[in-house]
Amino acid sequence: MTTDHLDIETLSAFADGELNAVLAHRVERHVAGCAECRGDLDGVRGLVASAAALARDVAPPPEVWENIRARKPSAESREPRWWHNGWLAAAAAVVLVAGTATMMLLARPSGVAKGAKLAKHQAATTPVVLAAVERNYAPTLDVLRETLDAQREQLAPSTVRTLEHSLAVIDSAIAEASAALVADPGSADLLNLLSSSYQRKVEFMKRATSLPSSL
Amino acid sequence: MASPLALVADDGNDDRELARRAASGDERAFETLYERHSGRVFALCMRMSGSRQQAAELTQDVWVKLWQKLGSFRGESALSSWIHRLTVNHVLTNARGEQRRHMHERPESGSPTDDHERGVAVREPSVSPKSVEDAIDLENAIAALPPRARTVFVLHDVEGYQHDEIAKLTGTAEGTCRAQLHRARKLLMEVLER
Repeated sequence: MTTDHLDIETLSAFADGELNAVLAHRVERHVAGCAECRGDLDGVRGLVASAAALARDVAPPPEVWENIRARKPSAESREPRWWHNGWLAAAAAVVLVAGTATMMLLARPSGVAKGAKLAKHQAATTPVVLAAVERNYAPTLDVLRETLDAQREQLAPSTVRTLEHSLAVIDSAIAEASAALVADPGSADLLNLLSSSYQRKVEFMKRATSLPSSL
Repeated sequence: MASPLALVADDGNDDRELARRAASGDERAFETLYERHSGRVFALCMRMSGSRQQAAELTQDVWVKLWQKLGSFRGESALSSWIHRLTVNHVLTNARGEQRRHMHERPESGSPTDDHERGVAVREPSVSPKSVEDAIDLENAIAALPPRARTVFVLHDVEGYQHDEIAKLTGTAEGTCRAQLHRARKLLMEVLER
C-alpha cells in the first residue's frame, strides 16, 4: 500500500491518453496498487462521461424571443444573399482582368524575331491549335449550358440577366484572345490566356449551375 | 464523444430552405429556426458564461446577428454547425470585451489574474467559495468554475472540441488549454465530492 498519491491533473491527463509511454506505465502500475488513486481515476472518467451526457438543449426564457423580435433587423441591415454580391462580383472582376490583360498583350509587340519559315509554319498551325483548345472545353461547356438552360426558370430574371451578361463578356475575352493568337501565332502568353479564359468560363458556369440548389 | 458538428438535430435541406426564406424576410421561417435551434444556443451560452441571465442576453445577440447574417449562409455545412460556430465566436468575443472593460474599470488591480488574463472573463466574479459550497450538481459546479477553465471544460468535455480547435478559438496555446481542462476537472471533482 502506498501513501504517495497521484494528483488529479496527472490522472486526468492519463485518462485522455496524453502522458508519454514511460509516465503512463508508471501511472498504470501505481493505480493498480492504490485504491484511492483508482477511485480518483474512476471519478475523472465518470465526470467526463457525465459532461458528455448533459442535455444538449436548454429552453431559453420566453422573453428572449420577444426581445429578438423587438430587435428584428431591417431589410437594409441584413447581409445580401451571398450570390448577389460575392461571386458574381468576383467573376466580373476576373472578366475585367482577363479583358484588360488581353488588350495589354495585344498592344505589346511580340519582341521576338522570327524567321520567315517559322512564321509561316505557325500561321499554318494556329487554326489547328485554336480548334484543339475549343474541342478540349466544348463538351464540358455544352453540358453546363444545357444544365443552365434547364435551370433558368428557377432563377430570378435579374440573376439570369447578370449571368448572361457575364458570360457574354467572357466569350468576348475568348474571341479577343483567339484573334490575337491568329495575329501572333508564336505567343505562348496568348495561348495561355485563351486556355485560362475557357477555364474561367467553365468555372463560372459550374458555379452558375449550382445556384438553384443554393436558393 | 460526439462531434460538435453533429450535436444538433438538423433537417438538412429543410433547414437550408428555412434559412433561405428567413434571409428573404420570412419571419415565420425564422421563428421555426429559432424553435429548432434556440435551446442548443441557450445551453451553450449558459454553460460558457456560467449565468442564465447573461445567457439570455447572449442568446438574443446571437439570434439578431444570425438574422442579419443568414443571407451569407452558403449551405456548405449544416445550418446547426454554422449556428454553433457563430454562437461560440460570439460568446468568446463578448467575453474579451467584458475583460477589456473589467481591466479598464479596475486599473488599480495590477496585472491580470490567471482567470482574467484574456478571452473568457465574464461579468460575474470567478470562484466564490460560497457558490462552490452551494453547488449541488454538475451544471452549477460548471457555472462556478473560473472562466478560463470553464470555457475549456465546456468546449472540450461537453461540446467535443479538440484542444487545437479550442486553442485557435481562444487564442491560447494548446498546452495551456490542456492545463485548464485538467484544472477544471480537479475543481469539479472537489466540488462534487463534498
